[in-house]
Amino acid sequence: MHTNTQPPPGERLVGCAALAAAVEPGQEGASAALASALAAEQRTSALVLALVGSDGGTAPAITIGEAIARLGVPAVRALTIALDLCVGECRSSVETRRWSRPLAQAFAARALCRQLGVGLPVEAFTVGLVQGFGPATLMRWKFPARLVQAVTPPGRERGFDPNEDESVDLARILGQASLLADSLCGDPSRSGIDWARASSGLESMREILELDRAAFAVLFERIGREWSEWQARLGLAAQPVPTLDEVHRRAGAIPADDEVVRALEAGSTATLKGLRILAVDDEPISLKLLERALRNAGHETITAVNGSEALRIALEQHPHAVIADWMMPEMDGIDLCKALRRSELGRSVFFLLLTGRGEEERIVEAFDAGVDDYVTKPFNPKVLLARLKGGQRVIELQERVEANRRVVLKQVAEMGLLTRKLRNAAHTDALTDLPNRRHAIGRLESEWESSDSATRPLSAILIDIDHFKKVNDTYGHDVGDFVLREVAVVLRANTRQGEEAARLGGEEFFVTCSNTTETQALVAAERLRAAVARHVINGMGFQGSVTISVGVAQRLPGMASHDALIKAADHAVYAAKAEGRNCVLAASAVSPVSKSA
Amino acid sequence: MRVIEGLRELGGTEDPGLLVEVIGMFLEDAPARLRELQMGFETKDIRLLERAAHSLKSASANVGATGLSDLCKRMEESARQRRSEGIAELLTESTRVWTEVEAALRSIRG
Repeated sequence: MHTNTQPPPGERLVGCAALAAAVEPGQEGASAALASALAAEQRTSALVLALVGSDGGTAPAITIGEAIARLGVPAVRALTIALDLCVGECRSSVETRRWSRPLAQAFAARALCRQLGVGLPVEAFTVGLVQGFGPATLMRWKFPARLVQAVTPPGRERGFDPNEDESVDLARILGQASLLADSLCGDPSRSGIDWARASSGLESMREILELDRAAFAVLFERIGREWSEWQARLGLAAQPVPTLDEVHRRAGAIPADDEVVRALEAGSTATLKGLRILAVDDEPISLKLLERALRNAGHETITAVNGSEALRIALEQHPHAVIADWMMPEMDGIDLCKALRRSELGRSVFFLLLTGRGEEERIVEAFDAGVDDYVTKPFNPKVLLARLKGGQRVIELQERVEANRRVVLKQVAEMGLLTRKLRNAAHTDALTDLPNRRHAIGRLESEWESSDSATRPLSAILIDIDHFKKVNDTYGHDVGDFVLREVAVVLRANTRQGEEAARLGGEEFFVTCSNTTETQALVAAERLRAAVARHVINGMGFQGSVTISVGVAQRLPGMASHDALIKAADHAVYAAKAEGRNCVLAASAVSPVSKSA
Repeated sequence: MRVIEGLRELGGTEDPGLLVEVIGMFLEDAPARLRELQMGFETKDIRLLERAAHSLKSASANVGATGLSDLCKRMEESARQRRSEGIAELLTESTRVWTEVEAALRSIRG
């Protein structure tokens, strides 16, 4: 809810962004409308091309039209809105600093996306750039659902999302990209940056990416370079770009406990030098003596004069040890200990109780409350320090357990991404990046389970490139592979919600159409056929276009399994070839004679 | 009678000022605690009495005034068990010992 009368930034889109936002993705003529929106703003279209051209595609995009064909209307539309907004605000020179970090995050997200082979890099860039606007704004801009979901904080109501895996991956990538952006933009004079966290975060990111240190440093440097170049391009004040080593070095000036954790993680047996100790006593002389004894022994000492103050400080400052008097008004030492033991942070703190004379007989009660050790007052500083030394071993052990626990938690969190990455690899065709046969068949099987020939139809489209053998024979396999990739890009860009294109192998592609009748699937198939025929392939000495023959089939009551559906579509492809190729045929229209042909 | 039975090596050689500082704190603080003891006894505020006795017990022990500390300990225990007998005597004795302790500490502080 905005209490502010001023519309939030990005509330009103202007110029090219507004034109792009008016484009309805999916509608007839959307590509042309988007292209003309971009033609209205040279700077933005130049940036779009620069970005798409360097997006690791098979060939640099030369025109906006090609960029749209390659990436699809929704992706280019979103990118246009984000970039035009950024260009506009940077030019107005009011909001220049605001875009520096988002830009770093955008390049980081794109690089991670490429490195992981998950999702579309250009989309990662887009959401990285405008994540700060929040899901509601992105939704208003009609960004693709998975992009909106990716910036929606977990736990918030997330509507049904058919691409949940993708948006979860993207959200994870954004999280990691944010860390990279922090590391890049971090101002060493600002204490707000937690360099230690950045450093250890980067190190675990390196492990997820399965890169050695040198390769990760190169990746980091490349992101920094891209960021820096674009800052200059957009007229933003140049910021020094740190190297990965510098980030790690800065992490040297870090709080004691993180240092310990890192030392322990590295398997080092270095002992804790000075502990951070919270001393609690309501009696000022005892407190003074305690504080002095601890300081003299080289420990960092914080004091509190009663239990409730101590509890607050302990939860804020995470001391290694608490030394508290037993008898105090309000909250006594035992209650303090019990309260700490109930909290996540207080569970591992070493708790030393000071007991007055006459209280020893009740010490069992103290141990029941979770006290680790006790010293009788008035204490002898040497005895106190000796007890503390014994406690130090416990503290180190606790730190080690805690460090291990953090490592495990971290690993559990990261395992998700890794598993997805591996699963993705197993389900992706290496040549075209489309889902592979295994994935397509699996998808069809599960759709088969949930479909029903009467109420929820299921259709399949089988595609075969015409005269592909001739391409291979004439130009060689490299060019053949190039053509396959180009066709894959066109298929991916022209499939819609509920349609999933996959490469079965060779020159054969497959589209599962969930909840789709044969008649509807025929429309989709024709869309794909026309798009492929229209697309000019230009590169590697090949110039021209290829055509496809397409067979469409719907699940019928008599079909025993998904195999029968594929077989029916396959028969239709044969019939389409016989019809002269570059056409679409429905299995229902194929006569039994030509079926057996 | 030695009221100060032994000052621990407060601050040691590194921090000779600590002894003086702590004695100063005690001399400043103790009269208030004694007044609280008296008031607690007179108004039958047993909680106040217990708390003041506890405080003075550890404070006096810290400066080596173990006799005074013992008296406070006995008062604290009586108060905790809600027994008022004997407290009047302990209180009188404490006030007497306090004057000796105060004199001894002032001479130490110089």
